[in-house]
Amino acid sequence: MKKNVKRVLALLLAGAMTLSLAACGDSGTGDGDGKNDGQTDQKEQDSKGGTEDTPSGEKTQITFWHIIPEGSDGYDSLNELIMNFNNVQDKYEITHVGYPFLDYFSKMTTAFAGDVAPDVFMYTMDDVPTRAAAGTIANLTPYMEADGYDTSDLYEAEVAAGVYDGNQYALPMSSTCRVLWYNLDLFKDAGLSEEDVPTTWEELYDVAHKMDIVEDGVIKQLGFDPTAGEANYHQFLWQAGLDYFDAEGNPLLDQEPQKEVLQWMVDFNKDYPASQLQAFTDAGKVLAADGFLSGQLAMMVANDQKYAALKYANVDFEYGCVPMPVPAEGGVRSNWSSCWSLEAFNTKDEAKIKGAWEFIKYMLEPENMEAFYNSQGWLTASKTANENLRTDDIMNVIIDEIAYSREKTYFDFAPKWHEDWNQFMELAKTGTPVEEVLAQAQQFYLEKKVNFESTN
Amino acid sequence: MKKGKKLRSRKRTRLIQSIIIHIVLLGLGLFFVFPLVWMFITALKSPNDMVNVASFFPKELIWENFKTALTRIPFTRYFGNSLFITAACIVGTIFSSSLAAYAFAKLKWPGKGPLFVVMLALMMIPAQVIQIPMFVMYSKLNLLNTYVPLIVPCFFGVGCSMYIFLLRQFFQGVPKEISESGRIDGAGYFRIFWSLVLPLAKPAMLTVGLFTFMFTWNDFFAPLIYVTDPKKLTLAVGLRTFQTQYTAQYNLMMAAALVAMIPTVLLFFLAQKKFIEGITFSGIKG
Repeated sequence: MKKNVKRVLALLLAGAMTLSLAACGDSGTGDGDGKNDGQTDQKEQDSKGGTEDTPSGEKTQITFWHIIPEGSDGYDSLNELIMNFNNVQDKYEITHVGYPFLDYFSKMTTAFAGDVAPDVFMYTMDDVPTRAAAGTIANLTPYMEADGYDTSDLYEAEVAAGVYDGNQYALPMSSTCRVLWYNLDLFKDAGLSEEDVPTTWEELYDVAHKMDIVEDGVIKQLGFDPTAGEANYHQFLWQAGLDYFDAEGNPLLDQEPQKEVLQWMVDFNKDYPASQLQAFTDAGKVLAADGFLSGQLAMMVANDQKYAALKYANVDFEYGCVPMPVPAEGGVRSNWSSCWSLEAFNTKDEAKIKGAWEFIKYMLEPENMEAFYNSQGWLTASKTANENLRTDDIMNVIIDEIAYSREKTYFDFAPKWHEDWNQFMELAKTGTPVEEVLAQAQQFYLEKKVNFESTN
Repeated sequence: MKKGKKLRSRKRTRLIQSIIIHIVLLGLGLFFVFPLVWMFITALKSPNDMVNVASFFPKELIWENFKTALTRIPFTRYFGNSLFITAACIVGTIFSSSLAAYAFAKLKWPGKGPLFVVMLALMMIPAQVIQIPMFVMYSKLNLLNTYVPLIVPCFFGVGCSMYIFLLRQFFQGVPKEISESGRIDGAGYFRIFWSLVLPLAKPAMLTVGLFTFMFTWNDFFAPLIYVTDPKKLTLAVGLRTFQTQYTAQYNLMMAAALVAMIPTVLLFFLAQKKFIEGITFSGIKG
């Protein structure tokens, strides 16, 4: 008898645990449900025959994910901007969630994998074709054509980056550009003035080395480092009128001009061992400050957000920015853009994609772009809105430079080719001859291309 | 006389040895406590001090950073969420691990040996390897954005191989006469486990509870991928709010992190003896 009671109790316990799994399945909260609510909505719509207009006047729920989490600076005003979308129309209801930048891509990757991505989200502009080719994001072209949407207020290079196979899959949400930031106090300490801020590579070399300070073999101050901040090889190639790949995606790294550019980068501070340069830059990282912010690097290439960082840190030195220097002969004024995009998840639910499109249009209106800037300090994707941001000389330089910024060209065999390059840059920095580094890099990309073509 | 001299010489030697040992231990102690000191000093810095690498110490102590950090993010909510998940995981881990460990230690059944080896082998698999299939499974079960993926696996021994191993070692040390005396009195397997063996395993279970607390409290990855509603996030994920794309407010992050550490530190001091016993017993440092 006792044994039977125990068996029954054990079965009941197992049953209760199984039921609790099912009971816990109701996530049912408002914000940040991601796709769970959407999936329920989708099932309901499918069962009702799924029309564009939600039956019985109910609003279609749209979720938006971004990288500004609750508690960050400007979150309240951003929340107000986003939620105002619900006030300006009555077909869709937006909810939004912000995640920390460093975790955002993990969240998005798992959301794509689990088919629970939000209806509209921010992502990086430079790899839109990857998601478009995989069918993850919706083609916006039909919606743009239906509405007669005019992209002339957006920057052409950024709009072009969102095109795949002749269709628009993403539109830019922000703009970025890279400029040369300089510490005027360090210039003055070296007997220089603002007139000496370089405009060419040759001037950059001369001026930078006048500001190097080395004591007892330790670098105390550096004029410039072509590998610090957001300076990188492909930007310098563009400025020399060169490129990384040709139009067919063949790497050009074995060519003499490309070698000369890398040699210039490597030789810039060749008087200092790589270990010293590394220690100089790493010391700043450990203490959460880069060399420029801490007043030890006189010039640094960085994007427009450095202005916000300088203001936040309330640095006690005078600073400014200019367009990145270019070679005196044949130089091309150019810098790297890496803006954020607005994309719609390809839920195959017409109503949700339409809602996502309406939200994208709303966010790209110039006054809303300006409100976004006021909230977050990001340069807007709108030329009109950016004109209202010319509040000082620094902003003037930054806004002018957007017109010269360009996105990296996308190649399907190496969607993150600029990140693949980092391993070779490390080799070059630590003493491997430039010729050898570029030969290895050339071989690397060629193999990638051949492997991709043979398997796709 | 000679004896006296020898005695004084021995005492001096012991004193010198003691001083050297204490100096070395003090040095090691300072070395290990330095990260905490750095956290505390950073938490008191202004944004300007953060970038002024020339000075390790802040020019001015900004105690306000603690208040700002705790009010900027919904700290109490994150704290409560972390506490709930941790408590539930402790209960689940102790429950499932003790049952499995007892079965491996005290019961005879076919395949026990090979299954134990398989269980040990599972310890080699990093959690990240199975995250995607687990995520897809929970997604299909419509259990995303709930605490189910974070808590329920603990009740089924998922990720508990280490604790099962630890408890098995302990249960094997319990004399079989105890089980036999229970059997003579007519107790079944569960009764013997629950009433006779488990009460003896309190130190080992406390160790399991402590380690579970540490791992779950600091778990970042699972809440990140399973929870989408910000209201349900935990402290580990919430602290990342201070690190944006281009700036990192380390002063505020360290302030919040120090407060987040308090439960772990308190628990360690309260259960210090059991903690050390558990580490030396199991060889697990965690």
